[in-house]
Amino acid sequence: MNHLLSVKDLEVSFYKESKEIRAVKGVNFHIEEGEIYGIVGESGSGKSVATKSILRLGPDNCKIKNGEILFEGDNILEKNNRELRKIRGNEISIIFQDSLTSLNPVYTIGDKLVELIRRNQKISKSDAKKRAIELLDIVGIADSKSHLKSYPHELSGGMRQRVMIAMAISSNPKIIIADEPTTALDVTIQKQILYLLKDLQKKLHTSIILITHDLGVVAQMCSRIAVMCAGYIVEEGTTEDIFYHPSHPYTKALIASVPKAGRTLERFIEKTITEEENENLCPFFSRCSYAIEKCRLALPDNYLENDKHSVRCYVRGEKLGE
Amino acid sequence: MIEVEDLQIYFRQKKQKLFSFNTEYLKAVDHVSFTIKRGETFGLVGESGSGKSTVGKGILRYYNLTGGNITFDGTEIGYQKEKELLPIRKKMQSIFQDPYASLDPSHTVKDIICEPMEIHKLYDKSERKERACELLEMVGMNKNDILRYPHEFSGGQRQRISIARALSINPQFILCDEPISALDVSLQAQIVHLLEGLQDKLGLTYLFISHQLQMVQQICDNIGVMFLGNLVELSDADDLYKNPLHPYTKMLLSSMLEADPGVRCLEDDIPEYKVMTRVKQGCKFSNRCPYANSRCKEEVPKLKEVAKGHYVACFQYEG
Amino acid sequence: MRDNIMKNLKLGFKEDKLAVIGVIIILILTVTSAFAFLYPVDANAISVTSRLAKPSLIHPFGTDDMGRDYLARCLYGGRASLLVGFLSMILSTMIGVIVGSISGYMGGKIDAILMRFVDALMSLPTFLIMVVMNAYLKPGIKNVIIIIGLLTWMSIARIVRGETMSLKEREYVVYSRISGQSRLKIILQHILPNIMPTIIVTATINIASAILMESALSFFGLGIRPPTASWGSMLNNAQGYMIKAPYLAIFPGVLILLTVISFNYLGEALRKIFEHK
Repeated sequence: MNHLLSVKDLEVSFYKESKEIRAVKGVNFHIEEGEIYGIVGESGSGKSVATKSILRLGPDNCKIKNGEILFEGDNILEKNNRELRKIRGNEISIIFQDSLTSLNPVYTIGDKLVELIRRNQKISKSDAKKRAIELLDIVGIADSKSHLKSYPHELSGGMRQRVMIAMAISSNPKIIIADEPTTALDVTIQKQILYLLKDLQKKLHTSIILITHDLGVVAQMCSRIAVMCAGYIVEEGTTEDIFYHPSHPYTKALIASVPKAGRTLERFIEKTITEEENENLCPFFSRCSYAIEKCRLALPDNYLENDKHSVRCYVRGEKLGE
Repeated sequence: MIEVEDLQIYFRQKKQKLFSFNTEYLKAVDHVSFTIKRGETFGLVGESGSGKSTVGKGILRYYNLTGGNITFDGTEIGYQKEKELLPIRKKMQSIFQDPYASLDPSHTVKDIICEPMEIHKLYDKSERKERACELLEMVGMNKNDILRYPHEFSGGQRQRISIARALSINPQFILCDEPISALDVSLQAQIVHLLEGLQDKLGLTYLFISHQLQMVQQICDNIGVMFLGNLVELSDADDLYKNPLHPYTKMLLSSMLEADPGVRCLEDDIPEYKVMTRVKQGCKFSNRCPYANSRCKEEVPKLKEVAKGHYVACFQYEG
Repeated sequence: MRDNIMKNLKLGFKEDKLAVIGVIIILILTVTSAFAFLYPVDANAISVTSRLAKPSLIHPFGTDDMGRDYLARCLYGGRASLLVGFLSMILSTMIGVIVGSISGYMGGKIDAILMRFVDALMSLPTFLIMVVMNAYLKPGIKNVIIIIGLLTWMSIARIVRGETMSLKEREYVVYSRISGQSRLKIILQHILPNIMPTIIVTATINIASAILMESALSFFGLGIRPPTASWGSMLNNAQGYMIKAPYLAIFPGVLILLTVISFNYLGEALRKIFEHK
């Protein structure tokens, strides 16, 4: 099967003071054309590191130890810097959480957009400017012509995120990686931005990898979801499967901890981590109330619930509820 | 227990022009009134810049009031001097959002938890330490952590330390200023549980400030909705979510994203407001409001009771 | 946090060899000038017979125009220079921290008044003031320290003010305030410990500039008066013998250079270490 992008056995580690910290421990997933794929997980689960590794954007002390990342059949990890630059921003672009720090404050929105467009397409400056105005119109910035002359700090958070999206779609990428694109925004603005992303995805038929910790966002946006916990994908499936038939105890607990009208908030399994956790066991083992003897011995494999729904747990399935 | 009457907090703004003789003011909180009953959790929701946090800190008299008054337990505290405030401060405590900034990095957990007790000269030195240990265990931590520094703890643990510090002098009222916004969902649930448990056990009153509507709905008895310094709606929690009246409240509630793929929340867009500047005259929401008419642009609507216990500041619901 | 600083210090110095050399030089100079009395030669003993002797075994640094042993004079000179450096740094840091933290924490009118005062002092030509003040005061090491201390605290005050202003918005300071903590205690317990790194760095670099200032003053004959030795006054003295006995200028000159560079490197290294955190 040919997927647009597939990540196989990805392992990423950080090195700090000659200690190795394993951030991503063997992750497999793939992205189809034109889908929104969500990766949820809490801070430190490795979701952001895993996706940034797709473009080899990790910090200096981070190393991809193992695995392959196939984009349209080619392994990104084997490409040289020039080929990589071609993919970055051209085929795969990225939207970050913090729009204020990711936009250079000394350039106007127009400068940045025109530069970006001309880097990827050989067109004249005035054509690039026209395209920039067009892009700002697409992302719903009113009065786009005059906003070309604005500096990032003159715009509101929502507008800046729109500009980031305009930059991301400027080269008609095949994949957009959105790393917590709305976390820093107010709820009403969040809704606007997500609506825009979904709308664009339909119109341009790009794929989006959406990284977030907000289950509400993935439930509304994505067609398939991966749940990450401490470097592993513990469960993957269609949005309906994950929300209506969660199989992994961690997923269940996560969904139960979302406040919802008319339901008392479920207590997340509480256990302060005191002893060093065994890296080679299920990451949820020490907090899991369904753990069995087998869990103490080895990391469970991925089991298939159905052809799209896999879970990394021995005691999986609906029987957990009883 | 706490009555806020017509509260105004203005901040002097930097002068735009070199020579201008009228100082400009930013009306962070403008004529806000509400009451918090003993033992309840009062929620204040709103987006950034709504002034919800300023109201909270105003009640604790971090800011000087421009107008209005605050009554705590029958005592007017709005304009008291710092010295006269001290006995009142013993009854009020606070928990803040950022678990990284709210604990002094150069102090140990013991110093941190003991600080309020030292300020109010409660207990002697060894009793304080004992109490600090007790409190740590009460909030679900290990008493052996007492000599460690804040940076050694995770976000959730730090927030527990903040809670222990707030409890150390047996307050009656705790201001929770976005206490869970910086935490992961699993930790949020834990901290909320902890706060609820402590409320039952110690009979605390909370003012819970948050932008997370789902969470506020879950734990608050009464809720006030703020928009750019004004209180636009005030109601008990159930009524507010079932029957929102103010157009802004409706908009806020409609932008909540249900963690349920069956409920479609992203079918319609919210109109972006075109004008960036604050409205100088009339209802502050009038430039975003789909129902705004000429009256909204000239007069500021007052908070009026339209159903029992349900107040709203909008002309739509007047006579 | 304290363990952390120590660990950072070790790591930082491991990387920064120049700073290590700087520390060693400072230590050697401090120890030798502190124990100068162990060197069995009187720095002020005049000997007409051995004027301007070249460096030799008896006089390792040679002798000056009055036949005084130059090594002994360099040692005692170092004592004066380092003493002036350290003590005036302590004086200026104290004033700077007090003014800066009050100004930054109180804000408003107090801040405006204090800062305009600092501006006014900073716009005065420091060296000229020193020269004038020296003319009125009795020259001597005590007055040099006071003069330098009183005229160099402004930069520290500004830095401390800036740091204080950013720290006072931190939530732990907000918390202390609404818990009823007194202003003095907030400054002492919450603000100063957290800006200590910055203060240490600035103070280290200030030592270097104080030593330079003392040398300059003494060079013009305004600081420490003969017969007491100081590197600056020795340089002044050496002026007349530049060709006949160049080593008279070289020894104190190199010593001043080494000390100042060492303190500057140390300061820079400390700055880097604290920034890393």
